[in-house]
Amino acid sequence: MKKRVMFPRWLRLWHWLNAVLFSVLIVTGFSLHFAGSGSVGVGFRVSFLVHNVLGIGLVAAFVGYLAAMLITGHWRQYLPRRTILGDALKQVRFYIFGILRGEHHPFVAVPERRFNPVQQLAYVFAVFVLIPAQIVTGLLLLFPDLAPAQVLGLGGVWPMALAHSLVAYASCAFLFVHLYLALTVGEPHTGVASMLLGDRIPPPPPPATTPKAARAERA
Amino acid sequence: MGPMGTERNHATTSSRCSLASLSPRRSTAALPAALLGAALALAAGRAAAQPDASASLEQCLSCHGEQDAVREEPGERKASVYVDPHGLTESEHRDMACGDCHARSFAVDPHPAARRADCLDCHVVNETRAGGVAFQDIAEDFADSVHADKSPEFRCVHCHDAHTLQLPTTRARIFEHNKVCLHCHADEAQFQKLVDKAPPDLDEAHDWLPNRDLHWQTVRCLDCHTGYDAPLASHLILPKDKAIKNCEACHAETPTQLLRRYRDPGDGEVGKLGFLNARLIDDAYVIGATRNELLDALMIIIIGGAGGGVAGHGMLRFLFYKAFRRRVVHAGGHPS
Repeated sequence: MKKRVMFPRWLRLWHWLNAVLFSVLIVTGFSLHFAGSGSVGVGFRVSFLVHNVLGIGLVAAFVGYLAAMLITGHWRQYLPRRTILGDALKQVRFYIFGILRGEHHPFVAVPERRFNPVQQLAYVFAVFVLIPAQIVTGLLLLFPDLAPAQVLGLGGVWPMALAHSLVAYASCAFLFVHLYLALTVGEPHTGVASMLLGDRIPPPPPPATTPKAARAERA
Repeated sequence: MGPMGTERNHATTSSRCSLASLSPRRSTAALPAALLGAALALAAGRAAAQPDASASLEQCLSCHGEQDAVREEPGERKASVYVDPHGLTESEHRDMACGDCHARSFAVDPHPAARRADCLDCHVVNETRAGGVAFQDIAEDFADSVHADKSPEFRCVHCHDAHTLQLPTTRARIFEHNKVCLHCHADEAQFQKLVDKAPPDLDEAHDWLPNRDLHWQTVRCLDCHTGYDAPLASHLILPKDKAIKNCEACHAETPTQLLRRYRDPGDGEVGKLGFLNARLIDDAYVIGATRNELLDALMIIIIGGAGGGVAGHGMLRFLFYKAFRRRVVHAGGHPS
């Protein structure tokens, strides 16, 4: 079977750039939020500088991603199918029961439709809600003069910080689930190798269901 | 110039005049001029206002309460001798008579420069306290400070205007605090009354601070520029290379140094909506110090939930896989 490119080079580059940015931003972010506790081990001033610089880097990477998405038509990956809710339920059912029984994935990824329905919902939320929210609140914290002086009768900066922290926690949760699924669920076409090399590895053939088919497979 | 040096009020102006009159060097120089002025006034037939040695507050303020009240100084200079009447009635010293501190004959107009008692003459002897701090400790702090080191002429009144003095208690008055320092440190002429060199460039010296101007609006100069050793009387101004540059001194869940510095911060109190240090930092957001118990709980729920969720899921899959292997092996098949 001819291998097709599942993840184009620019997408892989953005993915790994994000991986580095997210990791360091999370570590330095925790170092700032829990400053003085000594729990993270990175000094305040170093964390402050690194967090700000990489935060700007994340903005640049995201703007680049939006541009590439528009140019290549990659944005269509985020367009939900009409049957998204029913499909997502099927996928959730698979994650809860099917995966334990060794069933096949209900939705096979192809380059035109890489996301399964649950993935798609998660990524729409991450890319169009979480990252932009983090960028906006982060920039307002970086330039506090631009933040509203008052929000609901209180200082205008801390609600930004509150939102920034909450989104950061959600990003951590996202990262945990993302790593778990990517590393352990064993979908070769979404695995680490595939994200590194970009090639689609042909999906394994369905298991033989009759002795005759099994014999033919072995032959 | 940043926000620190943009405003002055009359309090600092009057403090400046008292500075001139306190300094022995200047008061001796000013005396002949003042006497000359008095003689000229008498020669011109001007009626004296008949103030005497026990002049009343109203009598003193009849001249000194005018904003343009000045005293002639050598070299055609004029020093303000204005005393803000409103500030005086609000001040900690409002119940005192002028003569309690200023001793001189006021029988002539204009009267000679009034000699002033040193603050410590009363405050140390009477064992009074300011904001819970003993004046004896303040005196000891000051004696070890860079102020005492750099200028033997330095006195309390160079920073604290006794006429308008109020106890510094709340953070709402942070600008008032810093104005005390800026009175000299942002004014070269004022600075050079005590030391014979230009004051350090404040903008440049604080350039290392992220969001410098924001720090200036919300942090007192004292917070970084005084020592934190006992008795912590806030008067041990450090040489500039000893100033605190450790961010975590304030940016921490328990900003020890700030909590020690502000004596009325509601230490350890959990404020509205679960904010820690709420009374200490008001509405300001201080990275590391603005901590919220609800937010911390949410963090544990969100991150712990995700981590626990995937760990539990992985465990289930492992158990199911083992059960599957057992079934297959038991049935005589090959587990792979």
